Amino acid sequence: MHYLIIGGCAAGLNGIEGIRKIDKEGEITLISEEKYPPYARCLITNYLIGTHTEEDLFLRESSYYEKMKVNLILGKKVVTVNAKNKNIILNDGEKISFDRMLIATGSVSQRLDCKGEEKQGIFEFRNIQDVYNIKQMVEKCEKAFVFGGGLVGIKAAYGLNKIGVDVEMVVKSSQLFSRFLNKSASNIILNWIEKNGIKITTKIAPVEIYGNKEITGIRFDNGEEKKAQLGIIGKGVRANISFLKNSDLHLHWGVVVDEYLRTNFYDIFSAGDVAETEDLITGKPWINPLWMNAQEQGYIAGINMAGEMRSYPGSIAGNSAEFFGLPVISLGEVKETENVEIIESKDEGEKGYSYKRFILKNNTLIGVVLIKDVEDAGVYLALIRAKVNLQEYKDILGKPWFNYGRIKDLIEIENGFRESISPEGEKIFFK
Amino acid sequence: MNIKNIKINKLSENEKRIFVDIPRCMGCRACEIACIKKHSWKNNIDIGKRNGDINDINGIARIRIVKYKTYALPLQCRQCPEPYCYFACIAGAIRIEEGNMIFEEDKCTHCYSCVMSCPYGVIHLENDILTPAIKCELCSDEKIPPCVRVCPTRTLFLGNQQEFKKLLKGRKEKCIT
Ligand SMILES: Cc1cc2nc3c(=O)[nH]c(=O)nc-3n(C[C@H](O)[C@H](O)[C@H](O)COP(=O)(O)OP(=O)(O)OC[C@H]3O[C@@H](n4cnc5c(N)ncnc54)[C@H](O)[C@@H]3O)c2cc1C
Repeated sequence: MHYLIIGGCAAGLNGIEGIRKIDKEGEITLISEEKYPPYARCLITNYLIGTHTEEDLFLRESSYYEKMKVNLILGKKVVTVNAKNKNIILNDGEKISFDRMLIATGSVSQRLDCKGEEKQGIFEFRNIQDVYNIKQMVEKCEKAFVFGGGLVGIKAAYGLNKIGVDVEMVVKSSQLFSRFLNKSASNIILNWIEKNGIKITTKIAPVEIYGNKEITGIRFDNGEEKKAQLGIIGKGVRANISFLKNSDLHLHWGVVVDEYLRTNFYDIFSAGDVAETEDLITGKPWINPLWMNAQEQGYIAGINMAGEMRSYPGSIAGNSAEFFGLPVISLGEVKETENVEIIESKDEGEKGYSYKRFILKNNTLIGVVLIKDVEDAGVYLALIRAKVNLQEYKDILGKPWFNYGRIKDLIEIENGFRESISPEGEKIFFK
Repeated sequence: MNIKNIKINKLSENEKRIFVDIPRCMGCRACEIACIKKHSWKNNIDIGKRNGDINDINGIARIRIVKYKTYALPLQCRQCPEPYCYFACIAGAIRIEEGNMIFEEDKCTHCYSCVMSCPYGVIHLENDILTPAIKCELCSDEKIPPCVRVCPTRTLFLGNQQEFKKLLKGRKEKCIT
């Protein structure tokens, strides 16, 4: 059996893990466009700041790939996929055939959609190479702009701030993290970040980036013009499926997969940011482009590729981050929609910035936001996954005495595990 | 980052973990104290964080007693074979290799992803000090972890599942975790 994995990051690496759990012998080839083995993409900020070298980011030691008997092909891109004939073609013309394939090509940055976007000095913030290029620029940079107020944007701004660059964030919408925080929570974060030295302007967007070859300034839609030598795009991502256009694979926002992460071809699987699975809460097709989902999907896809049948319960929007010492966790659907019940508590006193928000629909928990006091966040995530009725438990949500012990029975009862209480299968409770 | 000083904790060999025989627990919290002692720098619970020595942040219990119905329930890492904390860790600090759970503290970057994902809520992070996440590591440097050793009612049991089941054979009311 020859397993082929395209894309070497979270999902691809865990594809190896999954396959090797079942099949210790089959041949595995992993192809990645980048010249590095799988690394911690989320930590490229640390590489920018200088606390990590490239090697520090690698997720596994180099001996791991030998031990797992993986043939690594780095620095080469897959340009064509022939799903019917079960082979792929690399950018250097080489043809490789496979028995089973995992597509884990992740995502690419959204474009800025403004004039002059291609000028030198405008960067994406997605991989080691981007950061390397940014590092070459910062010396002569007096003012930098980050476009977009998502996690990637803030991480970029944070990194630049730490190495002493004057950086300003411009956000088109009226709040930071519009994808995963409600307005009042995002205001708390916004104040905190501004207090720590990063300027944030909302409700404006760039219309033109000017300069000869390199950028020298930016004009915004409110008419203002500002000098700048560096711009970073952090406007979210979309699935990296352009190279699959003529492959007969079923594509929508991403590669469409079933609950076993299998595409419309029996031998081809997909996982990670590129795969369109179900959202665990809504049950609708969706992509939650996050590390946890990518790793779990890669793992399950790997297991299924090796012949087992394990279904994937659905991806979940779960963000956690820390900015200047203030932790934030957001789970599930946190916005106010119809027929939801919201339990909110806030403390902006001297100790400050503590905030909790729970969103319930039909008495089941569908969303949580925690700022500062984030202990037991995972227990709330377990409740979201289990979709249990919390009618009699509402008053303990967010209280200091909330913990796993309080809801232990709930998770077990609802899933019929009360009698068997088997300690080994605890993960099955959430299926 | 000092990558040469990798501290690797080999855990859960043969799927060993700490099992809990819930009805036996009387909530004396000896396990918590034993754990704090073990993990405080000076191996002493009286000097340490409570006296303002912030270098002693390790002196935090990895096991805690919580309320569960009318019982006291010791809560600690279950050493899940396919743990959510592994999937969530963005730094590759938590991983499973050859059946052992490995937690490479040097790699932890304080992102709270493990806290976000652990369904038992047994991973802790200090808010204001940048230290690695804290979770039960089964004290692989000792034959029996201190919490198990000091438990006066033998609520805690270190072993694998078969051994634990053998212990409970013939018992009518089972309430374990
Ligand atoms: C700066 C930053 C910070 C982030 N922070 C967080 C965070 O804190 N928490 C969180 O949950 N998520 C975070 N994310 C998102 C997270 O990194 C992604 O969800 C995750 O990397 C997805 O993994 P993946 O394996 O699906 O795809 P990717 O990581 O995108 O990897 C895909 C790989 O495939 C390669 N590839 C693509 N096309 C081809 C081709 N045709 N041929 C060969 N190889 C190809 C690419 O070069 C790449 O190496 C962050 C992302 C960034 C950029």
